[in-house]
Amino acid sequence: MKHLLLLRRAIVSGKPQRIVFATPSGAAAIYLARNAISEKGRDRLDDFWFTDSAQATSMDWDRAQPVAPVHEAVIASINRLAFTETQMHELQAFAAKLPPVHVRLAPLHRFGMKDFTAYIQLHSNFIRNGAVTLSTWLTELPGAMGVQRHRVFLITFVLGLLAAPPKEKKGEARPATKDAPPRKSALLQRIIGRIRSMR
Amino acid sequence: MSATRQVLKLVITGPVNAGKTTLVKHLCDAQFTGSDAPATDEVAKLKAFTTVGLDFGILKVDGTLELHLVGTPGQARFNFMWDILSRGAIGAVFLVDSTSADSLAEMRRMYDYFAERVALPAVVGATKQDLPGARAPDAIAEALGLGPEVPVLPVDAREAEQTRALVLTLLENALVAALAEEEGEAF
Repeated sequence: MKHLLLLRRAIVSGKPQRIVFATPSGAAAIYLARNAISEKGRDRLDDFWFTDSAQATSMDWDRAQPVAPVHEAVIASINRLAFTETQMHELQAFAAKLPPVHVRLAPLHRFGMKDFTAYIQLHSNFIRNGAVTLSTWLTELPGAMGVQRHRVFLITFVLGLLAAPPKEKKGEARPATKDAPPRKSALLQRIIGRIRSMR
Repeated sequence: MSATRQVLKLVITGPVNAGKTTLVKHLCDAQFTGSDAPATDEVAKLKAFTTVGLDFGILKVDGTLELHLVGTPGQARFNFMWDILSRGAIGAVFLVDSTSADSLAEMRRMYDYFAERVALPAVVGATKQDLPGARAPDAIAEALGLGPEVPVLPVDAREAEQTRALVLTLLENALVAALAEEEGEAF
């Protein structure tokens, strides 16, 4: 599922990129820039989600190229996915390798997400527990609700609405110094902790 | 060796009479400076006093980190201040009066300027949702032309718990965005 990481990184960075991937009818390409996907790429997204080969390269953006909003394109394509058993197991195996995640709240229902209630449940789970173990969340409901959760996972992962705190090896945490300022995420975590403690 | 002191800013903005001053009060613990003056012109129809200059409060996070809360004036003519306010800022909280078409129109002018020039995480708090004629959060998002990155949440600015929940939503969203950008071997 490395291709999902490639798409996620392209969307999060917003830098122009081209992702070439394998489909049953030959290679296809999608072009991405900040919040945008090429219209041709949008039309090939349905073939992307379970490809077994993909490669990303940086590129100069062709401004003449017609584009579509990337959030809406990703959501519309994933809305159409029904998933085979094998595909669901692939996603579950991928999710099992991820650490517990933080979840970002975004009004995706306004951009066509049909499983918005399941997404809100995922966000509520995060607010309640401080992080979500995706492999558990994906498999705890059977049938149609389980399928909804797989779609939500795919959408939120690819759009960068899920993220994990960095792994810190023992003794690796460093105090802030002039040469090595603290990461933005570390500062935000301290502020969040402080506001949570206010009563 | 003394630890480096760090200051970050959180900007509270939005049209007049939406609850910005109250939100700053709820979040700061060290200082508060906001100067009220008798309202004039259109503002006088909304309230007797309004904030002149900036609301300003400090939240001491710990020994080395402070969050400065800056509440802007509530008119779009002060939009130029974003160039200064956005330096060192971690996000922007917009507050809008859900019952007022004028508030929404002013907010649209403020938000359009922000969206074009400022790359900061944002959240919109829709106040006065309990009053007759209040627009629903989705209708407000539609009217403002907000993108998928900006949630609109109902909030009662008089309730400290609700204002903190609004700010926490913004900060958690900013945290996920920061983690996704910093992401190395975590994913």
